[in-house]
Amino acid sequence: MILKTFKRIIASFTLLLPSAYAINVTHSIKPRNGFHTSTLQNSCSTFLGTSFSSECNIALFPLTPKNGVFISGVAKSDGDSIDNGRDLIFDPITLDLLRNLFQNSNYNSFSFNSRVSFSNELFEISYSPYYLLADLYLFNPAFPEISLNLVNRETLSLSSGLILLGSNKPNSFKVSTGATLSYYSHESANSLFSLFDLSNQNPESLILFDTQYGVQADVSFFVDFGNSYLPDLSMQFKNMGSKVKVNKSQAISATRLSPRFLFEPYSQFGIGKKVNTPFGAFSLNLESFIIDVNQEIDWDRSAFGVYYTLNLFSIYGSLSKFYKVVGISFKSELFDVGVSYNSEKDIGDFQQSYENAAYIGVDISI
Amino acid sequence: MLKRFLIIFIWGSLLLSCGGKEGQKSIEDSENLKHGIIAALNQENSDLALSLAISGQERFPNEKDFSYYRAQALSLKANIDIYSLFPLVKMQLFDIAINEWEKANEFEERRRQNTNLSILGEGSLDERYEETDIIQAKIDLLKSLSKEDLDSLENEWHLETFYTYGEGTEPDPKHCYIYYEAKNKHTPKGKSFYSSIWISNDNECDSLTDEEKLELVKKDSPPFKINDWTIYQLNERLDRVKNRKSSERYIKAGFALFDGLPILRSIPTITREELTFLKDALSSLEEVKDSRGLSPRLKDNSTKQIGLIGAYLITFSLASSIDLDQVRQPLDFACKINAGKIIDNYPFMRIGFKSLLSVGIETEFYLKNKKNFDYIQEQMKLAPENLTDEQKKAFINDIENFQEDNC
Repeated sequence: MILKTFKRIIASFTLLLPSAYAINVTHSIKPRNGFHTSTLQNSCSTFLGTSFSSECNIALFPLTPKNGVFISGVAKSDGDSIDNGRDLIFDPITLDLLRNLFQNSNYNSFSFNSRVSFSNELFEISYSPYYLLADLYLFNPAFPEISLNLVNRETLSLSSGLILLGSNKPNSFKVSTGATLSYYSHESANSLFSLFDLSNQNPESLILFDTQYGVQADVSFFVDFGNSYLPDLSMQFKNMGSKVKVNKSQAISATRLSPRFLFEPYSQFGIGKKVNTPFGAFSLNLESFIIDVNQEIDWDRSAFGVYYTLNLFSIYGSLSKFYKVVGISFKSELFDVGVSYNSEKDIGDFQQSYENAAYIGVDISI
Repeated sequence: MLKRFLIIFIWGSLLLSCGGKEGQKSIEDSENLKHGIIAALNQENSDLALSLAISGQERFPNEKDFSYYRAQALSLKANIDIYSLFPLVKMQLFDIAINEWEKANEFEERRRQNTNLSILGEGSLDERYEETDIIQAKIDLLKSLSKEDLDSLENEWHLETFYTYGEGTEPDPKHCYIYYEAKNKHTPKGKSFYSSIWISNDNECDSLTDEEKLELVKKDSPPFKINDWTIYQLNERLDRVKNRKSSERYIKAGFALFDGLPILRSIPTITREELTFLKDALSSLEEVKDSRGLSPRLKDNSTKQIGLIGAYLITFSLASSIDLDQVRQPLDFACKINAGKIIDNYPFMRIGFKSLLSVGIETEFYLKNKKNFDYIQEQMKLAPENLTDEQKKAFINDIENFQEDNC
C-alpha cells in the first residue's frame, strides 16, 4: 500500500516535468572532447584500455593511466555549413545562396576544440584555450531572421580518480570513480535579429557577447563486473556547479537556439562491453543523456558507439537518431590522426535535412 | 489521519499534474505549430503556412504570434519576400562580402549622409533649425519690440558723398547726394540698406563733417526706418528662401527618383489579387504592432515589415505608372507619367503612404524630415479612400496640361 502510494506520488511529479520543445542544439564536439570521443558521440564511457578512455569517462582514469604531454585538436573541416559559411563571409551573397540557405541548409554550424594536457598516474592537468561553436539558423523568407549562437570557451582542468573496489586486473570486478575540477571562461552570444537590422545597425551591436567565469566539476563512476556476461556500467554527472544554465526563455522559444548537453549540468549513463576476437577488439557502448542531471532522459540523443582497433589502425562508428558517424584513425608513436564522416542534424527534427560533414582530429604525444 | 492526508495529497498532486500537464501540452502544441509554420515558410509553402497560422489563431486566440505568422504567409503568398525583393535588398546590404563589414559601415554612413537626397529628405539633424525658422524668428522678435526699443537699436552708418552733375558737365559742389549704407544687428548677413539724399548746401558739400552728414540723413527720413526696413528685408528674404526650398524639394524629388531608377526598374510586379494579400498582411501586422504584452521582437519586426511593405506599395505604384524605359532625365518622370495608371494605383499608394508614415514617427528619419512628414500626414488625412469621378478627371486634366506645357 505504502509502496503503491509512493509510486503514485512519484508518477504525479513526473507529469509536471517540462517537455522539450525548444530548438535544442547539440554538437559532436563537446567540451573536453577530442576526435575519438566526438566521433563516438561520447558513447564510449565503458571503453577501457584506450588512449581516450579518460576523455570519455574520467572514472576510467585510474584504470587507464597515461604519462606525458598531449596536444589535441578536432574541428569540422568540410560540409555544407563550411561551404555556406565561406560563401556568406567571403563572397557577395547571391539569390541562389539565399534560396539554398532557407530551403536546404537553414541551419549551419561550425565547431572546434583544442587541448593541451599533462598526465601521470596520479592526476591530469589540461588546458583548452579554444572551444568554439557557431550556430546559425535562418528562417522566414518573407521577413528573414537570423538566430545566432556563438561560444568561445576556455577551460583549465584538474582530473584524478581512484579505484573504489576491486583491482585493475583484467576480467576482475572493479568499481572506480573519477572527478574533474574545471575553471572556465565562457564567452557567448545568443542573438536573434532580422536581416534588415543589418542595414540599420552596426553588426557589432547586434551580436552582444556575455562572459561568465566559474568553477564546475564532473564526477563519474564505472563498474566492471569482471565477467563476459554482464555489461560494464557507467554514470557521469557533468558540469556540476556550472553557472551556464539553459536559458528558460530560449528554451520555450520557437526561434532561439538552446545549446543542450554541452555547458549546463546534465548526466549520462552508459552500458557497454568489450569483445575480443582474433581479428581485434570490438568495444560497444550505449549511452543515454539525462536533462538537468535528474529530470528526464532525452531518448532522441541516445547513441550507440562501436570501436574497433587493430594495432595502429582504428575504426569508429556511432549511431543515434540525429547522427550517423564513421571514422578512422592511424596511430603512430607520436601522432594519432583521424578523420570522420558525419551525417548530422544538430538541431534534430527542426533541421530540414542531414548535413554531410567531415571532421579531422590530431593527437600529438610529446 | 495520515491516510486522509495522503489521499488529499495524492489527489491534489494528480489534479495539479493534470492541469500542469494540460498547460504544458498547450504550450508545446503552440510552439510545435509555430515550428510547422516556420518550416512551411522556409519551403515557400504559403498555403500551408497560412492554414497553420489561421489554425493557430483559432486555437490560441490570445497569442498574437499567429497573427504575425499569418502576415508572413500572406506576404509570401503575394510574392513579397526576400527573393523578390532581393535586388533591392542586395543594393543595400550585399554589395560587398560580409568579411568587409568595415566597408559596409562606411557604405551605411554614406547612405545616411545622403538622406537629404531622398524624396522626403531635407537635411541633416544638425540643420534641424530651418533657415526659414531663423528668419521668421527675427521678424517676430522685431515686431514684438516697442518703438523705443527699436529706435534704440544700435545702427552702423557708413557714409559716402557724391557730387551730382548739373545741367552742364561741370559738377556743382553745392549740390550733392549723400550716399549711405545702414544696418543693425538684425540686418540679414551681407545685406545693408543703401540710399541717398539730395541736398543743396550753402557751403560746399565737401565742407560737411560726417556728423553733419549723418544729421542730414536722419532728418531727411529715408523711405524706411531701419526697423521697418529690416522687417521688410527679412520678409523678402523669407519669401525667397521658401520659394527656393519648394523648388529644391521638387528638384530633389526628381533627382532622387532618377537616382533610384535602377531600383524602380527592379521592383517586382504583382497582380491585383496579390496586392489584396499584401493589404491583408498589413492589417495583421498593424494588429500585432498595436498589441499589448507582445514580445518586443514581433512588435519591432512588424513595424519594420509595415515600413517595408508600405515602401514597396509606393514604389510599385510609381514604377507601374511611369514608362521607365523612356526616362532619360529627371524631368521625364513628370512627362512620362500615365495619369490613368496613377489613379488605378491610388488606393495602394495611399495605403503605402499611410503605412510608411505610421511607422516613420519617432525614427531618426522622421526627426530629420519632420516638416515634410507632418505635411504629408495632414494631406493623408484629407485624402479620400477612393477618388470620385470628378477628382479623377481633374487629376488627369492637371497631368495632361502640365505635360502639354512642359514636355
